[in-house]
Amino acid sequence: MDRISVNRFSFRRKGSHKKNKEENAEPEFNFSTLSYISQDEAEKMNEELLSEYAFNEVQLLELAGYSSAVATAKCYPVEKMTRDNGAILVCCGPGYNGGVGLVCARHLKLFGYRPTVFYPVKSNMASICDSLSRQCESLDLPFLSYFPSESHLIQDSYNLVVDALFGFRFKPPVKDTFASVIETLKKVEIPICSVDVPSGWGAESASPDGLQPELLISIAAPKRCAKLFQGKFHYLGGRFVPRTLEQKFDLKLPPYPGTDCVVELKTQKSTEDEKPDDTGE
Amino acid sequence: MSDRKEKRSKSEGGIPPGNLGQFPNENNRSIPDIAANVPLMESARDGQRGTEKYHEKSEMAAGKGWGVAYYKQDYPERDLDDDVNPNDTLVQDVSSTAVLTPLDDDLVGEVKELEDRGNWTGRFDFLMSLLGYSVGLGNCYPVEKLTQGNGAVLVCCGPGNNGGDGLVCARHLKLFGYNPTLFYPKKPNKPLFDNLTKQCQGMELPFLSEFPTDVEVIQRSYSLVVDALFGFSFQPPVRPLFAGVIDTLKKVETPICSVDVPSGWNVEEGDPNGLQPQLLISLTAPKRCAKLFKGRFHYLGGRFVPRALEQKYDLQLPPYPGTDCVVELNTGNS
Repeated sequence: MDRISVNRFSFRRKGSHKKNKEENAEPEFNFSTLSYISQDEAEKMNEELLSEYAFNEVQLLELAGYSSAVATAKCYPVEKMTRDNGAILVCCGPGYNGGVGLVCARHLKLFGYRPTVFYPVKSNMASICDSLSRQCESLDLPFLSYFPSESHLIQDSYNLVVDALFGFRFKPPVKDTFASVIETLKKVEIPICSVDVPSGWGAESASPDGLQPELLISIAAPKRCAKLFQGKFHYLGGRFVPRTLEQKFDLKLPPYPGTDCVVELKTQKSTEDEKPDDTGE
Repeated sequence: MSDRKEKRSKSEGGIPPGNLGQFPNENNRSIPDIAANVPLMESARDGQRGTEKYHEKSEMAAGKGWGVAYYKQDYPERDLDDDVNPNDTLVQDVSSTAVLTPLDDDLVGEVKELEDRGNWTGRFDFLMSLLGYSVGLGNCYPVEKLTQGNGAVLVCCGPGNNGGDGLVCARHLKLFGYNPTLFYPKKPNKPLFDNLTKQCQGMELPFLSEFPTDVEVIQRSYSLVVDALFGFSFQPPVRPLFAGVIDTLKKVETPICSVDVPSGWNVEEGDPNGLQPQLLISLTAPKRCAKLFKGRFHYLGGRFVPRALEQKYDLQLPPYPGTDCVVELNTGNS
C-alpha cells in the first residue's frame, strides 16, 4: 500500500518567506491608537455581519473558536503543562460565548490538549450548540455534569481554565447556576483564558465580581472593558471582519501577520520571560 | 438540483465502499449508517442543503441530567459493522444551520467519510478546511512575492460545491492580503450559494462577467489561479462553458492551485491531458488521483478527523504541526 510520506524537511521551510517580510515591514502598529468598541457597537457589528455581509453564526463561531484555541496554545504550550497531560477545563455559558467555547475545546483537543467541558445550560442557541457539543462528544471530550465545588479540585486536575461563560451581551449581575461557578473560578490559582470578555464583566467596564483572566482573546475587535484588563496576554482573533465594516466602525486594529488567525495586542506589560512561545514560526 | 442528485447517487454506486482514495481498505465494508441516531436540528429541514436526506430527531440531545460526571463512550463501533441498504445511508450534514460549503456532492474519497463528517462535524470543518486551503496557498505563494497585479488571484468557481469552496477560499485570501477576482458563471439557485456570494461581495471581490479567453491576459493580470471548478464527484461530460475555461487554463503559465481534485480529473485515475496544477490541497485525505499529481506542492487540509475514525478506516494521515490547519505532503516532484 502506498503511503504519502510526510516531508517535514521540505526545501521550502515554512515561514522562510517571513524573513523578507520583516525587512519590508510596515511601521509597527501604535497600540495606543487601538480601537475599543462599546457593547452597542459590538451588537451592531455582529448584526451587520449576519445580515448585510450574509455570514451565519456558525461560521463566525467557528472562526472565533479556532482563534481562541490558537491563542491559548500560543500562550500555554501543551508541552509545558504539568498536570494530567494537558488537561484543561472549558467552561461554556448559555449563549454565543459558550458556543465559541465549544469550538475552542474541539480545536484544543486536536492540538493535543485534553479538554473537559462544563456546559450546563444551553438556552439561546440550542440547535447550534447541540451540534457543537455533539462534535465535542465525538472527540471524546468529557462533559462534567456538575461544577467542582471547590477551587482546589480544579487546580489539582487542570492546567488552565478557558472561560467562555459570558460575552459582550452580558449585563451583570451573574445569576443562578453561574454565580457559584464564577465564585469558585475566582479563587483558582491556575491561569484563566477568557473569550472576548472576562465573564462577570460587562462589555464596557470591569467588575470586581467577575473573573481576572491571565489571557484575554478579543474577538473581531477589543471591547471597551479590555482597557481595564490586567492580565498578561491580550490577543485578537476572529479574522473575518471585512474591510468595509472596519471602516464603517472606524476600527484601528493591527494587521494579522500573514495567514495567522490571531495577532497579539501589545497592550499588556510583559517581561521577556512571560512572552508567549511562538513555536514553529 | 436534480443534476446533483443524480450525480451523487451515481458516485455512490460507482465507488466501491471502503475505498479511501489513496489508501484502499481491503475489507470493502458496506456503507455504515453512522448517523442513524444523531439528532437533527430543526433548521436543518428547511432545504438549505439541497439533496441531503434527514433522519428523525432522536432523544440523544435531550438534556444530560445532573449527576455524576460521565465520559462519553468511544465513537460507536456497533453501527459501523451493520450491513445497511446503501439507499438508507445518505447521511448528510445533520449538525448545523449552516450556510457553509456543503460539499455533499464532493464526497471526500468515499461516502462513508461523508457520513462521518455529516454525523459529527458538520459544516464547520469545511469552513476550517477552506481556511486550510487558503493558508496552504499563502505558504506556497506568499503575497509579497507575487508579481502580477498586487497579489491578484483569479478564482474559478464551478457550478457545485467545489465552486462554493472557491468562494470561501477567496474570502480568506482577501483577508490575507491577496486581491482575488472571481469567475462564477453558474451559481446554483440556493440560499447557501447566495450567501457565500454575498459574503464575497461584502469583501469587495469583483466577479468577472466572462472568462478571459486570451491566455496572455490571464498571465499578465493574475499571479495565481485557484481552480475550484470541479471536485470529487465530477462526472463527464463537462459543459461547453467550463470545457472552454479548462482548455484555457491548461495553456496558462500562471501557477494553478486546485481545491481537492484538479478539475476534470477522474478521481481515481487522474487525467494526463487535464489540468496540471502546481499546488494541490487535498481535503481530509488525498484522493487516489493525487498519486498522479505532478505539481510542486501538495498540502493536506481539513484537520478534523477524530482519531477513532482515522484508525477505524486505516487512514494513514500525517500529524498536523502544532496548531496548523494544513500539513505539507511530500510529492517527490520538486
